[in-house]
Amino acid sequence: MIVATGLHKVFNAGTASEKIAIAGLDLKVDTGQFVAIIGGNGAGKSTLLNLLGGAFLPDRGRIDIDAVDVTQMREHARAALVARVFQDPMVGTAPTLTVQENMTLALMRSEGRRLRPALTAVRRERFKQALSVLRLGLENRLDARAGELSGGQRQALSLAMATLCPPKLLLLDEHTAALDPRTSEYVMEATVSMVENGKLTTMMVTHNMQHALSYASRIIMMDAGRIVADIGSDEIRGLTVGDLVARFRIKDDRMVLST
Amino acid sequence: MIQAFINLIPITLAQSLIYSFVALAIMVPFRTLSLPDLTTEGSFPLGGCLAAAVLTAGLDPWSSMALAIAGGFLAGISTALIHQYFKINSLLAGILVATMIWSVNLRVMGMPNKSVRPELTAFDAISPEILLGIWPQIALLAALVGLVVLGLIAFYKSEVGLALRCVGANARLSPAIGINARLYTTVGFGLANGLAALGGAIVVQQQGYADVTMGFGILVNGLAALIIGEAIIGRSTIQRQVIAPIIGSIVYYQLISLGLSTGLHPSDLKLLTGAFVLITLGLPLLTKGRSAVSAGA
Repeated sequence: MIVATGLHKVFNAGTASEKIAIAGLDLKVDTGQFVAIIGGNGAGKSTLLNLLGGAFLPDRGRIDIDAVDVTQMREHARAALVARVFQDPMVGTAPTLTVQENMTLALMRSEGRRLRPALTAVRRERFKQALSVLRLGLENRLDARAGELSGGQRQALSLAMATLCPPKLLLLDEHTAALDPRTSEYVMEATVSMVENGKLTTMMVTHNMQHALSYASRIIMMDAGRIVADIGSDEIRGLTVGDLVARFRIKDDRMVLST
Repeated sequence: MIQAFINLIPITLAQSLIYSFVALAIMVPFRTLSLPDLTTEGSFPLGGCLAAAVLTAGLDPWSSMALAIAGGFLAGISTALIHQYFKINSLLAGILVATMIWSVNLRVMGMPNKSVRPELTAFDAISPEILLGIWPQIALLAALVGLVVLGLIAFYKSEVGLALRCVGANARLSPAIGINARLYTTVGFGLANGLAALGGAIVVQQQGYADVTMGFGILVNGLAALIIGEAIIGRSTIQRQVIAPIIGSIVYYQLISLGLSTGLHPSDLKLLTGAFVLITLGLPLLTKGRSAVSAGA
């Protein structure tokens, strides 16, 4: 279970450009829940993911992951518990390293790193298996550099890396937003099957309301650094994108357009 | 004139093998960590001056070289820490450290230069014959360079080495995937400058003296060597990336020797080396820029 209590995060505190990104946020996410986070630009969605992932530390508040207090744990230490897929396909993989090397890095996220050979035949087989699930033929391109892959392939690889060692919390930061519609659907479907197979606790920021409605077991709407609506799975079933838009009087163009 | 060059080939070869440590030391931060470092200009003479000081004080050559490596390591991590914690550009941090090392070297030796008698050196400790002939020196140095290259390749292929390469390949990804980028960068800088310092300690024992000015211009030479090596064998694999500085160093110092023996004025050397580095670094960008323009049109 993920518990965030009284989170506050202010950027550029005390200056003219002061921005309250998270303003007293409480959140409990049960193990295995798939939470979609929606909201307008600047609502604090990405900041929330950054706080949970440890890229930023909160000014106040506390974060527990499976009863471990991670509030002050730095990002690289927290990576043993939390995995992340970024919006930009360029960020989630190391372009000059091969697919196999990228997967090895993902493996070491939970296993740690030692002075022993990184690439082994046993690991190679494991990666082949993990990548074949994606049905992109990446299992045959283990020695290709990640930079040679297309954006969709890189994002799929990034997803495979994030789920290779099941994290306690999987963070998806608009991870299909930079892809063309078809690739976006493909990556979303791959995401759902991986999340379901691994029964992963997942938090996904998205502007795509249809994705939120179709795949999430809970939808959280944020505004001005707070949670303004929290919809459970029973309620989601009866909703359409139109309902969602009407219900929250969403004025953010981007959100409406992407329906 | 050509005869002079040919006569100098073995001596230049021995010299270039030692200076290949400097090229390696430039390669690690520049290519692996994608964070250029100028500390070499200080860590190389630091290794030499430290070694000269403790060798003449009676310390055995192996401990002396270990001490020199430790000194270089310390210089490297200083630069990395200054860069990371004071948010100072890595190049400026390197210049600061290299400048400060100048005074350290004078303090360590107590004088601007110091001669090191052959019987104090590691060469002599292995066999007194070695310093008498150039070929035994070359064989020994080649073996040492080979060992370092193999060690570095094995390191780059290890889990720790892979993480180090990830820090340079994608700075945003590395913490998200559990790599302490600050720690890795710091150790990477330390490792590189430890190698440079080892080069300094060896050159002092080979030429028989240390001088505080011995690092002057070493960086541009090392960079030129690295670039030549990469132009010759590329950097597409770990092996090529690690061997390139060695090949480059060997070729570069022979070219310099050829230039000097065919009438090139030594004082023009820095201008030419600098121009060469500039051209080789700039040329691919210029041609790429042009092709991008034509592709756009």
